[in-house]
Amino acid sequence: MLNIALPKGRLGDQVYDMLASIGYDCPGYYEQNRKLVFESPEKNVRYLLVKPSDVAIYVEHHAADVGIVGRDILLENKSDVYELLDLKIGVCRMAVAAPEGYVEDPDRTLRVATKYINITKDFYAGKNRDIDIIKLNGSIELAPLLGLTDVIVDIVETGNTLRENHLKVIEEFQDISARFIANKTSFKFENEMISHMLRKLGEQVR
Amino acid sequence: MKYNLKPDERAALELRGLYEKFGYKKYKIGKFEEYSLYAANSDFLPGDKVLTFTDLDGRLLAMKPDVTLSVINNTRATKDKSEKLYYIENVYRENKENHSFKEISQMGLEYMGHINKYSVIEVMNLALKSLKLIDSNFLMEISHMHYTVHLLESLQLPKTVSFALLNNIRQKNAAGIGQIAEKAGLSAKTTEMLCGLPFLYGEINQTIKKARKMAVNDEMHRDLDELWEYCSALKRLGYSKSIQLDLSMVNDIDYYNGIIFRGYIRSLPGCVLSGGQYDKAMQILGKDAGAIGFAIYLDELLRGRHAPSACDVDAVLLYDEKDDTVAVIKAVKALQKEGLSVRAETSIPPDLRYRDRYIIRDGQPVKEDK
Repeated sequence: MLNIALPKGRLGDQVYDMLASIGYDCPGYYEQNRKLVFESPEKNVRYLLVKPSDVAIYVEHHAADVGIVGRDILLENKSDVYELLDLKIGVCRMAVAAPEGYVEDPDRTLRVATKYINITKDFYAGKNRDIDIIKLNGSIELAPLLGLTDVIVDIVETGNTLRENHLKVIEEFQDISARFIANKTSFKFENEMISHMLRKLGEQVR
Repeated sequence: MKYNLKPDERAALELRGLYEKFGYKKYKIGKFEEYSLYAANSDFLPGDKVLTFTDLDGRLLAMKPDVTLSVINNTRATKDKSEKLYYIENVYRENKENHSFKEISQMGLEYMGHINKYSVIEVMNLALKSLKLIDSNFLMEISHMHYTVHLLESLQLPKTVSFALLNNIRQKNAAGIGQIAEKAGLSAKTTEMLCGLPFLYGEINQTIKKARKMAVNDEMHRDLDELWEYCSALKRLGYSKSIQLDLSMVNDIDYYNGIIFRGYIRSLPGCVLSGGQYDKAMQILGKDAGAIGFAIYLDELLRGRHAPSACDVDAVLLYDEKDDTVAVIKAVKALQKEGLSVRAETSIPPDLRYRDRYIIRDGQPVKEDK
């Protein structure tokens, strides 16, 4: 039985549809209930619905064999998994944004609000820029408006939230999309099934 | 020449002038210190993380997390020979948010030797003057540590209970104090009094009046007398609107004694100045003298909002590679004489914000229309 970790929500549903259409459907997935595990003994798969940011943790620790996760989470957690395929859905960009009319003062430590601490650290280390990170868990856009920080680092999809809060993108530095990932052991022991899945998904993406 | 100074740089400059006017001497300390100094006195430090490394001779050294301990360790002050000094140093402390160490710039002032009423007032007066120089919208909170310490001593509690009580008093957590007092089997009256401690806070006369009602022994009354004396002196120096009391403020009881104080600026999020009397720390490090001092966290001054300057440079002077270099320098000089900052370029850099553009005609800078 192959365990597949899916992120709860729209992205998970989208990926489930892709997997179902290549023969890994599972009865009851779309039933309205609070179940977190769906099994199809016939198709030899088990779907696990988990918090999007936890998918890579399940896969890395072998609680799931494969999973679907945003690249932002892989980069942030530096997860030790195989990143097999870019599914080209959930596409967005990692970006630095600031209030309209913002001018950077290179003579000061830059204050950055983000939930992506490691990505932010790496990005500014590459620019040799001294920063202070303030970790927030949501509504990041508020931080520069209240003077809590100078800029934010966050994922930007359409830019609507930024615009409505009078922020603008200063720099985009990383393309983000959903990835098909596999546990390193599973990839060896369940290779036949994972490879089949990978090939079929690959055909769908193209 | 006008300088484009940041708030911390301006403060450091002006405060130097202030301290030197009062006869304090600048004191320079090395970046490193024996780690054992901090290991033995960790309660004195604001955090427990110290950046250490092994020196070439095998000794374990630390990047200073604190300046005062080093000052105490090196001072030659005695009761008959006082030392007045100030410092501007970087210290290295944990940055919890980034999970890394950070460099913090700190300025401080120490008065070591025979501490009398005048020395306490002088140092507090300088602390207030420092705050005022930084920003006119400031506030200093004052406390007398002995008041709370004498109260706890009168209860004769085990050390761990006193410790837990002190922590909750500092956090103004009345519910927590109540729980601990109940567990320790204290009477309802005593519990109520302890729970009232966090709220001995605010305007001087009223707070002292409230504190008098809670005082259980002569020592506590004497502490309040002393506190009142200092506060009324500061009032007479014109600071009545800028000082208030908070008797729940208690520093580490092994190192500090007597008066302690903290300074705040309305527009800045954290405490910018902190100080107090630390005769006990002097004794622990084997010095036969008293001491009082304070530190100013210069980094905190950068945490406020700031308006960046409107432009990077006043004038851009465009020259041609073929121009005589001496003529270009002379043109730059001519503009500088008018009080402008000048950047000579062959073309305008894309991100540069400037006010006016000049070209060289007949060896003279000429303003161009934008």
